[in-house]
Amino acid sequence: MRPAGRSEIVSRVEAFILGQSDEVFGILALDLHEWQRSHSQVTAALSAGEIATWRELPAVPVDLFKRVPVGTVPEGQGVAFATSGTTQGRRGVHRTWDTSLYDLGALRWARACVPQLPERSHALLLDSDLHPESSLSHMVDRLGAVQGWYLTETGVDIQALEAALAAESGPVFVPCTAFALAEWLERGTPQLPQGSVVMVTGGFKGRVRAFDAESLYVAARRAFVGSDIVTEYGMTELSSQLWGVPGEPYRPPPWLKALAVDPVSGEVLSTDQAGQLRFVDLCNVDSAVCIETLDAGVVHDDGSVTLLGRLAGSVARGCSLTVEEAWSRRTG
Amino acid sequence: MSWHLVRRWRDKLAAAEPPRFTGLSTEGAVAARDAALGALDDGSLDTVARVDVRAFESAVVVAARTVFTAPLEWCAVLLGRGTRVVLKMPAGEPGWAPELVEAAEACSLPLSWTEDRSVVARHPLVVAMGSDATIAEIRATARADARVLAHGHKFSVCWVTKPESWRALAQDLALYDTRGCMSPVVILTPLPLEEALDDLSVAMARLQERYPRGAIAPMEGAAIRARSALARTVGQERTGFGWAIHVVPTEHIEPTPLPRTPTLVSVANLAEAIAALEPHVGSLGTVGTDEAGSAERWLDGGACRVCSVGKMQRPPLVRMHDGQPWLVTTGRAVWSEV
Repeated sequence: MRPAGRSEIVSRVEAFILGQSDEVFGILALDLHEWQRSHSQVTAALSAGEIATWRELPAVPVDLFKRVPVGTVPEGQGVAFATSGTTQGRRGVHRTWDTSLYDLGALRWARACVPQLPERSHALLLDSDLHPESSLSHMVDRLGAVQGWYLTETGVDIQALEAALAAESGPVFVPCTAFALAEWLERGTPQLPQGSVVMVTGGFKGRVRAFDAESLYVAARRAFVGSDIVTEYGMTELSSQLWGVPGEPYRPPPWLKALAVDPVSGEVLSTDQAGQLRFVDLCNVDSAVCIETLDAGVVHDDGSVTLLGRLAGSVARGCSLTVEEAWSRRTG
Repeated sequence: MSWHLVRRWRDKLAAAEPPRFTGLSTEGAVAARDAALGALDDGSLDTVARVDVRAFESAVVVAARTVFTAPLEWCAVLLGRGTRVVLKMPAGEPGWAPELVEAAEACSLPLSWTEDRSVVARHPLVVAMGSDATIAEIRATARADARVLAHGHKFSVCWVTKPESWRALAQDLALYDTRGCMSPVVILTPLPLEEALDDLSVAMARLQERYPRGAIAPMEGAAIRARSALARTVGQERTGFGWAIHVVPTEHIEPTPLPRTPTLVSVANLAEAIAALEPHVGSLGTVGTDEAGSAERWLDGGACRVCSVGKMQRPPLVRMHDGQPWLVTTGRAVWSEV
């Protein structure tokens, strides 16, 4: 059963996303935290003392999503998104009662950042019907009409992808992980209709291979003349995403704020200092409003975020690894 | 045979300045160095010298980042037999290697070091310590006829049944800042939990004063906070400057070492303690115990080595290593009937 007070807090967040309220982000974040504290064992356990601003919210480390149910949705209920870190043994699970807030926020911010986003898409991702646990595939499914999913257990089905693209007469949206794009550029003959948009997400360093982001973007620009390349940063444990263009910081939506903290002490750093990234995401109503990632980055004065990769020594995980694991199986 | 040179090398290292690039505090680095050199006593070296094997002409020892003294005993045994040794260190992290090599050169021992990964393919004996991924890569790189002695990820635990053991246990936790595969990552105890927490907290705080914790990597800091969050959610936590103790139920045991951050698990008895480790038994290394009668049970339960509390990170030179007769496998066993 959905906890008492959920519909009220969801309505407030919806109004905030739609710009239909004059609520202040910090107040809404604190209220959401207080509500979660009353209904989530994890938030209650991590809360101690008075919290004056959203910057002081206790953060739930993403690792905790692998170990205990985080939030107000019991196991077996609601919608569950899961991380793809399969070789780690445990997968992080992010549960939500429904995806209405997720969908609203994802669509609104994607349209704001990429107004020219084509309606028809060809995804170098796992099929959302076959992998309903993939939050990335879910998001892409909501952003437009997906004509085909081309990431399989053995890598990218380049033949099918290129055949489908050849039949397109207008611009298309091509969301892909960095590893999948690299594979396409390496093994295929990539071409896109004019005005298309390529979205790149996921890390560049994995367990068996790593590559330089700038080189990938140079190759992509060369291959996709007349198309736009955009970047997206999201994670299973978040309900909102950041968007950008290669070489520039990611822009968060107004309902998500980022913080960099000292990875050893956990103390919040001032803007433009590199640290461990935390996100306060108002769309995380059913889980935890403040999430601590294992990524390093810089938060700028305007709230935008420059991603610096994984914290030193961290274990590789993430969407891109699905492709990388397929490579590993094929070559090993 | 160069055993007399190895003794001279050992003494030179003991008299040297504290090791520099260890990640530990100066006090911690000296304690770790002295513990490692202490295992190379004359009696132990004499015993090793009598092991009847022929020396490999050359060997490469691939060192991990975690325990800076780990290559010492391997180098001592190999060099003592007359094997030429190359230390392969992680890129950008030479650790103790430059000092080991400088002291060896002064004693005319054939020891060198490199960061070049291709060195693995050039020697008939490869000794490797590191993550499972590193070990797999080394096996793939080594030449076909090479003997590869691989030591991947192991974790160690301690079984504490007497209140007077906490102080000795803190020594095990402090050495190498709990990063080594012989560090007690998990402490299992049938003692009253609150008393155990109180006693261990005092021991760790005192130890911090004597051997301050060294540097913490960003990922380690994040992992400590993640484990802290888990403990606060499903158990409890005690913290002090430079240390933390996390109490979790058995199903949340995580056999990954974090600096000065052990997991304390309350169990009813020895059988429950052994059962709690069943999911991780394939990686179980050393078990420290203060209950002499428990040794056989732990060995049956999957431990590679059982020792007294306080001795976990001070293994004697003459022993089995990860269940392997390393004093034999580091040489060429021969058999002549003529």
